[in-house]
Amino acid sequence: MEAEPPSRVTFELEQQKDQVRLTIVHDGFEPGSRAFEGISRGWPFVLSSLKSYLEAGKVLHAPWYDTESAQQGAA
Amino acid sequence: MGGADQQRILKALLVQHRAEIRLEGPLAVRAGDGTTTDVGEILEVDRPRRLSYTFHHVLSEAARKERPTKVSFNLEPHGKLVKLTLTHEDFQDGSVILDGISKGWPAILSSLKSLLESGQPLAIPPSALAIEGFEGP
Repeated sequence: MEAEPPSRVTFELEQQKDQVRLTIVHDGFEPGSRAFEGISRGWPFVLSSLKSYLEAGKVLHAPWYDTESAQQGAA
Repeated sequence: MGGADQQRILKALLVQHRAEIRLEGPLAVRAGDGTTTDVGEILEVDRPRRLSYTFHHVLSEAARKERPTKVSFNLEPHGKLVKLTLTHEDFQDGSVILDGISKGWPAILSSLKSLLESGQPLAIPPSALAIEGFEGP
């Protein structure tokens, strides 16, 4: 994955009455990017955890996420 | 525990978007005033792991002309958590409902998560669902 060029992450926050809509755009991947595959599983989990943290004060802990992160770190 | 949580999420999911789903035959999604906004047919029920159904938006004439799409929910236990994956597919080229769906589902899933974790769903502001080039309810 280190051989892939950097991609781009954009966070957009919009006030919608008493709520805030957060939109993440992660683009600029090359065709067949391995990072893209991992990112596609990672972001939903990160955002879900962020929402739990903001609304309930605790982050999520997912065993599968730890496992995948460890595998990617070792690769 | 995973199974019980999956059942709880599935039940909340159905209540959340007011789907009258008997888990067989036809289904209808209604707006708060009782207007039917979407209809479909149950395709697959595998409690508490998977639910899929066809989805046909019927409020606008343009949407009615499109072929029905397909919605699938997959629920997988991961330790103490349940991972819910929603897939909505089979949109035809130039679909007029794809933009609305793309704004609606994140709001519904976000509201579902609030409901499950804090007991309160989000009141989704209509402005958050403003759809370009489409006359909503």
